[in-house]
Amino acid sequence: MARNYFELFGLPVRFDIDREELARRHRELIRTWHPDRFAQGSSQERRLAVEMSADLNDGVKVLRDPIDRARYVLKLNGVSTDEETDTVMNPAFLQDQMVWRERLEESQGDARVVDDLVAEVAALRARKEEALGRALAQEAGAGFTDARQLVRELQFLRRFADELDEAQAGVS
Amino acid sequence: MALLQISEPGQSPLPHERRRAAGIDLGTTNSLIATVRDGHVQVLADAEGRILLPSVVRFHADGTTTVGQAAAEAEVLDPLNTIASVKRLMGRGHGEIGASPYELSHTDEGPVRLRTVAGDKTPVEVSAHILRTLKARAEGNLGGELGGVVITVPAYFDEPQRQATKDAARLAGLTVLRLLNEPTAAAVAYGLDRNPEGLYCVYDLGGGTFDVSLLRLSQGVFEVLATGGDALLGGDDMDAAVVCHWVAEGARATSPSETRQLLRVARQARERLSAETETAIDVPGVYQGSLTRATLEGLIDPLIERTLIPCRRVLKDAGVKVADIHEVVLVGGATRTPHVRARIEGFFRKAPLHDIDPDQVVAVGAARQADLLIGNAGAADMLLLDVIPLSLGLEIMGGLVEKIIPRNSPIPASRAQEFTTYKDGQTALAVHVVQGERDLVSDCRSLARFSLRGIPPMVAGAARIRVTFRVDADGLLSVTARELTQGIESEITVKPSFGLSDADIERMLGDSIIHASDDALVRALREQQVEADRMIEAVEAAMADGADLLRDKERTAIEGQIALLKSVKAGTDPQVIRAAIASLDQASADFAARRMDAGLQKAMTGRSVTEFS
Repeated sequence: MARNYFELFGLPVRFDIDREELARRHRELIRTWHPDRFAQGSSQERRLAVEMSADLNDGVKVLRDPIDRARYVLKLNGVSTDEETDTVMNPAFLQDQMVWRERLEESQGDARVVDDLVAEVAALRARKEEALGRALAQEAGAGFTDARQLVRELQFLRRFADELDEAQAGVS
Repeated sequence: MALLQISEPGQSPLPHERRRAAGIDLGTTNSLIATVRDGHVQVLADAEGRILLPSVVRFHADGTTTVGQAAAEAEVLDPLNTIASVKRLMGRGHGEIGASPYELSHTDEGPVRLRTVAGDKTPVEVSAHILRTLKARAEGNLGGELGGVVITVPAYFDEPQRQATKDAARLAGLTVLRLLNEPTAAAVAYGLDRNPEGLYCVYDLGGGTFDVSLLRLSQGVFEVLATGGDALLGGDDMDAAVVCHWVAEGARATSPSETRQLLRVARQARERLSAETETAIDVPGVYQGSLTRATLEGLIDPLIERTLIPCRRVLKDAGVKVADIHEVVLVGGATRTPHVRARIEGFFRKAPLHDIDPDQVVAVGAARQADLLIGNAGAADMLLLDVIPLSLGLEIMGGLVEKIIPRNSPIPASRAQEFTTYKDGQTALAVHVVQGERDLVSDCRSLARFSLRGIPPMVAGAARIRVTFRVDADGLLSVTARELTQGIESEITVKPSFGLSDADIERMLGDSIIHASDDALVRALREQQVEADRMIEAVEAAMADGADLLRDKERTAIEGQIALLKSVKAGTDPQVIRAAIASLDQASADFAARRMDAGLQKAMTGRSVTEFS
């Protein structure tokens, strides 16, 4: 990516951001740079407007989402979360995952079991997101290692939450 | 208009500078064209005062065509040469369409071709005839050539269907300012009239397609939150269900023309049953009987039920509950059916809006947007932010799809993903671009294939290949693949395998010179001259305004290219002008990009935090 998303929106590079302000800045900028504003412009202007708007849209998506934003902050600091290649996870975390999945499979569409799981996963995600915020707020990148692990776990939890969502849609 | 010299909202050109623009609803059953005049939208009628142009084209053996009402009347008489509902075939390959009432020409590749007495016709050519008729209507009405049009497409149209629509416009000699999603257009028509902020749900059941979109209007920005639908479900299916019912009751249609007749009678009966409770059916020699509203409702109920599935999904995708929705807007002739309205009201627990004619509302919104894009509608400082309807992805190992841009992403969008080689010494990578929501490539729509060659031989997994997807404001995609260690690049603007090649279009444009008065070459020349003027104006203005960002060597190069373009512009060869524009573009691209970034910083630093909070 050529443009740093934080710079794009004129925000300091840090995890803790004001999401409403981000949305406001995105709206303001996209109003100016959307290709529709250049419908009568040259092809070069239209192309640049498409690129700029695409960056604004992609940027706001990344910065709005806590996991994506944390991953991006880490990446800007040279820390990769390596989710594709490094599949080693904390054994205790994996153990919890397996138990949950078993409960989901054994639920046989029982709405109460699924609802309980949804609540437990949501609570854990909230705790982990808080921890992620604390890790990334530490001075001089002291919390990066913890943050990296938390991003990976949250990604796992997000996928599982999506599956639960589908299961919930299925039973209702 | 130079970059960064955007006219302030509220500044419109002087009245005599008003440019002619129109909005076109290119529908499955009917098409129409509208324009803004003195601030009001006017839907344009033909010489007989008819607004709806039936989307029917009849081909004659002498190479001439009949379009609209006269063609529709010949449907039964000459079913194989009279093409209706061609929108359903747009951007489709042979394997992708089911039973067709027309004779198809057998080709393995390329788009569907319909066999007529005037030769094989692609759906793009058929649509171009409809567009030409509308263009002539507008130009006659407005007293001059159209500067540009906005054409609406179902939100659920995929990439090849959008591309085909744009190709048809090009073939008809129209400049497309924007492809606009139909539900978005409808929301614009309602939103600008009333302007209440909040969530809008647009339920659009047309002749051939069903679309549902959820939009948020806030401070002049219309943002599509989610969109869904069924590209093969519409009022035509209701007619077909009625005909099937009659056949089960003993109706015997033995020829294509009798089937077409039954379908027409079914549609008329369905329309009558909006007001009556029972209607007599008499198709001599084929079927006689009656149809009650209750029977009709039983027949169409499963089809309406099918429309509620995308409605639920759209709500879920946007994370919105039924109770959050401010207004439900109805679009499409099929929403006149009382049972459809009742089921919608039951689902959304709110009476839907239908005070703008559901047949016209899309064209009305498109006309507003066209007026805005051509630079007339200064007062309406409105922006539309649309999304892509279907996920775009790549084939990866094992015939699986890796999604690059998920559905409902706002456009323009750009997303890059890195891949690597899986074999030692691998020097080429096949890129297969697909569209759809399923996990298996075989369940998705194949859009394009291309290869990145010349990857330096390395051990498996060492090469880094970045594939970038870019979607423009019309929802059209281009894909670039780049090997990062050596910088080898390969780019493709997706032209689907069943789309038309540029050569096809050029040939058809050539044909149209013979068959019509449209002079494609003159038009191509003028297009390039306009583009050359815009380019020169933009670059010169940028150089005057941003001299501090310009390097000496760069200035010399750009000035040289401007001089060259000015000298070739007066010539007669569009290709030469195009080449000179490309050279100027290349010489000035870095400078333009730097100006853009500088403009962005200026926009952000000029403000204190309090302005944003």
